[in-house]
Formats: sequence, C-alpha cells, structure tokens
Amino acid sequence: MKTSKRIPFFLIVRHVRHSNKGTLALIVFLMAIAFINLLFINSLFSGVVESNESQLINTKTGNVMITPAKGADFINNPAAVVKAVDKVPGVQASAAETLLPGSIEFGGTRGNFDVTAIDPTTQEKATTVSQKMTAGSYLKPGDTNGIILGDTIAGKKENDTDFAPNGIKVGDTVNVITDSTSHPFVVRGVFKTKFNGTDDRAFVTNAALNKIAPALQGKATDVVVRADHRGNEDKLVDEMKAAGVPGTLRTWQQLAGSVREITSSFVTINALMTVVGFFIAAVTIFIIIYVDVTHRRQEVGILRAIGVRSPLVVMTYVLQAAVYSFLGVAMGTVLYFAIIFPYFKAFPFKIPIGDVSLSIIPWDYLFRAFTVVAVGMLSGLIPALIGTRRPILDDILNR
Amino acid sequence: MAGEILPGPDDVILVDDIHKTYHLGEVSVKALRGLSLTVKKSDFLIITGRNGSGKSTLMHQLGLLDSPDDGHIYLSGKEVTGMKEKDRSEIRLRDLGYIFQEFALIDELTALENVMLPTMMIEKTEVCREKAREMLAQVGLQEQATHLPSQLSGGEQQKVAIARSLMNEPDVLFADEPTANLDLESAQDVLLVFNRLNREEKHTIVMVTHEHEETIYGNRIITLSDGKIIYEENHV
Repeated sequence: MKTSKRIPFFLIVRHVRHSNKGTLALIVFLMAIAFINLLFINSLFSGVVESNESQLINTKTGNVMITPAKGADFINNPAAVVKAVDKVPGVQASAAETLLPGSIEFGGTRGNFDVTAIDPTTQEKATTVSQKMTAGSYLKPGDTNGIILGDTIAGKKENDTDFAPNGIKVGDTVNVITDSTSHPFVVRGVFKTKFNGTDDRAFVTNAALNKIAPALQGKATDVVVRADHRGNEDKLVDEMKAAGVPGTLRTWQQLAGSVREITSSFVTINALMTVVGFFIAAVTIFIIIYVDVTHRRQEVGILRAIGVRSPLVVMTYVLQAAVYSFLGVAMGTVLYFAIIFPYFKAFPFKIPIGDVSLSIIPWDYLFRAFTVVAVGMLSGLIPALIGTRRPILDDILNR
Repeated sequence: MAGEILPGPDDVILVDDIHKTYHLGEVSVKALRGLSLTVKKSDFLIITGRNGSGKSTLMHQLGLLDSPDDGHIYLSGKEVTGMKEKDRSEIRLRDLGYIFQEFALIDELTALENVMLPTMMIEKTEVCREKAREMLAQVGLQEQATHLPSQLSGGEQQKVAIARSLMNEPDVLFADEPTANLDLESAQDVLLVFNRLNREEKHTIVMVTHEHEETIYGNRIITLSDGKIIYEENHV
C-alpha cells in the first residue's frame, strides 16, 4: 500500500479503539436499527407472498398439476400416471384427484361445493391438508361414507348466512347431491388451511366415489405433483414430458390465478414500502454519520494543517462511515437472524390469508446491506468534502 | 515584476508587502497593511504586539493556513503565494512545523501516534514509530508515549505538538502563542525546548507571544501594530 494511503486506516482503527465506547455503540445500534427496519418490511411482505404461494402449492395445486389432455375430460388409469410421475427425478409425491361437481346440504341449507375424491394415502404425501385438521380426523382408505369438510363449508361464520349458519360438527351427516341424487356422508373431520381455494373443498375417498358415481371409477380430473423443492417446476415439467407422462402439465404459477393477483398486489405494496423504508433509512443514516463527521471538524483542520492532503482526509471519514455502517449491518444481521426471525417463525402473524412468518431472499438482504453501507459512505463523504473546502483555520478554531 | 524583492540564499522566509483584510459582514478589518520581513536560517524571531495587531494573521499566512490578499511570501526560496492547495499541503507537510496555542492534537491518538502522523505520509510505519520515540525523548516525554492527550497536562500536550512539528525536519517552526494556555512552569519548560532547538540544533523558529519576558529567547524581535511592523530589535 502506498505509504500515504495508510493514514485513513491508521486513523480509523484508532477512532474505533479510543473513541467513546457508548457513542460508538449508539451509532452502530442506530445503524443496525435502520438496517433491520429495511429488512423487516421486506421480509414481512415476502412472508405474506411466500405464505400465500406455499398454501396454494401445499394444499391445492402442488408444484405441478396434471390435467386431462386437450379434448379429454379425464385422465385414464390415474394410478399408472401417479406411478410414472413418482419415478421422475425431483418428484417428492403425487396424488390423483377426481372432482365431482355437486352440492352439499345440511340442516335444510344447501351450498354449491365440489367434492373431490382422493386416495388418502397418496394425498397425505402430496398435500398438507391432513396436517390442518381442526376437528375429527383425516380420511382413511376404504371409508365409503366419510367426508372431511373445509372450514368455509363447516365453520360457523359471523354474518355468514349463506351456508351452515350453525356450523357442522364432526359426526354430523351431510348430504352430497350429485346428478339430483342425495348421498348421506358422515363428517369425519374439519380442516382449516386458511387458504380460501382449499377451505371451500370437501374430500371423500375413491371408495366412496365408486359407490356414488361408479362411472368415474379409474378416472381422475387431475394429478397433484409435489416437487422436492420449489423453483425447478419448469424443469420438472420438461422431465415429466420426456418421461411420457400424459395430459396437460402446468406449473403452480400458471394455475395461480387470483393468488397471483393477491401476491402481485403485495409485491407492489412491498416495492412502495421499500422505497419509503430506504428513504427513512437513508435520512437516519445520513444524520447519524453527518453529525459524527461534523463533530470531528477540528480534527479535519488539524490533519490538513500538518500536511495530510484533502483527498486522504476525505477518504478517512468515508471509510470510517463505511466501518460504522458495516458494523451496523453486522449487528442488525445478528439481531435479525438470532432474535427477530426465529421469534416470528415460532409466533407467526395470524392474518386472514394464513399464518405469516418472515421471509428474506438472499439478494434482498445483500442489496439492503449494500445500500446501508453506500448511504453511510455518502453521508461521510458530504461533510468531509465540505470540511476540506473550508479555510483550515475555520475548522481548527471551530468558527 | 519591477520592484519585487527576491529571497537571498540565507533567507528561509521572505515576506514582501503583504496585505490581508477580513470582511465581517459590512465591516472590513485590515489585519496586515503592506508588511515585509525576512527570516534568516537559524533565526529565532519573536513577533509581539497587542491584541488585534496582526500577529496571528501574519503567522497564519506564513504557516500557509491562510492566503494574503496581496503581496508575496517565499519559503525556502519558493514563492508560496498563489500556489495550489495540493502544493501548499506538501509544503506544510515537509517544510513547515506549526505549533498551535490550543495544541491541536487528535484526541483519539496517543502521544506517540500524534507525533507519528505527519511522517506516515512519507515513511513506513516502523520508521515513523522509531522517529516519533526519538522526538518524544527530545522533549522529555518518552514515558508518556502511550498516553492519550486527555491524560497529559497542558505543558506535556504542547511538547507533544512540538515533537510532532519536528518529525519531518522542517525548515522553519512556527509557534503561535505556544505558552498562552500553560501555567508558568509548563510555559518555561516549553520555551526551554524552543531555546534548545534553536541554539543547539539550529532550528529556525518564528514565535508569536504576548508575554514580554518571553522575548529574551529570540535573537530578533518585531513588534506589530495595526498590521505593520512598528519596532524591530536584534539581540546578539
């Protein structure tokens, strides 16, 4: 390193080592808070989007959904399709579903809700509905007169008089009406995923389907495919096609529909809040660093008076601001990932669309960390430049 | 350039007809009014005068901390008036040592580190550290090398400032009322350091003082009034 370039580093180390520890801690803490504020807003909205998308995948569409080929009404021999899909690398599980258009009647009130026939064993692996039971139990294979209902169908809702005004309980009998024929089913359980597209569903077993609609035996309306991780859906579709899986293959993104609209709204709100958050963080950091560097005005004068060139003086305070910002980011990272993130993982926000914990994308974290350091450096640059352009005596004599 | 005076071979400083006016709102204060002087190598020039006579203003011009409105200043044969800040900075670093009334030490650096600082622009750290130890020893502060300014007395702080000013072996030392903030004993200590530097090591020193009794250390004394030299005296 060129000899003169060591001066800024020499001074920064001494500033950190010998400056008032309380003041230094306060500066770093305030920087950390500004950084956490940037992370938190983004993580919260990312969490909402993530929660909404996960629920769609986990409880309804899977990562990929196979529907009948163009022009066909059903997927024939779904068991063979499931077997073929399960062999494709990257597939965690798959389950065939048969949608039975109809309605459900209880206590003289009737609502149009589709009933889906499933194999509980494969469905349990492909979706998380079985983990969301709020009452009773999940379906057992071979159950020919049991049904599980989503919370929207079974639950008692304030000001909701369209259906089940008094709620449906486990053990109650509901009538499933298809083709004008009523079939009684005993409610085995009630599930609540907090995802509207799932909570208005009802499930029966394939064995029950055979009883009430024998013509649909060996036919499915869709196959839900769960991947072992998110993000490789397009590749998975290609591999399934290459493996000869029949039907129309679509990723969850293509099926998202209204979920996509909700998430894109949150993405927009997130972008707006991020801009506001950046502005607030920038102003906060600027004030903290500006005050600190301005406080060192006499020092700027002394350095110039003994012959330290102005660019080196400026570099000293810019690097010092970078060090403070970096320490703030480090402290913020520790506080965020050691306390805040695990806390909201354990105690998520309970909002109508689901339980939302925080989620942060690595790139978002890096961008925010970089922004804090960059704003900090800019905040050091401006007062240092002003200081080195003032008459030396004004700096030394603080006038 | 007709009529302009040029420095002779022994002239460390040549000041030729400098003027400086400060503008304080609508009021203009003429601090220096056509002042000229010469300082020879190994001179110990004492500048004295009443408050507002222009002593400190003159020191600031000589120390390149400020620029005159008119006139010429030569330091070690180079004209410094009109120089770019970068070049002035280089001269402050290599050719001048400046000692302020308020010590002007950096609070977060130890005595040794404060002294090292100017030479760090030029030499490797270890060389600076060794040289700084020598300088502190010269002013009798080797034991206080690791002390922060806040842990030193006023006299000790001023000695640290003197040690710092000597680090780059300057052609001339400027001391702007160096004893003004010191008690009598500390002031005496500091003056003895200057006296030794001038007598034994032949350093050229320009010192501003208010105290008449301090003029005995100089070989030349000038008295300013209203921005002009009104009296000059040479001691043998």
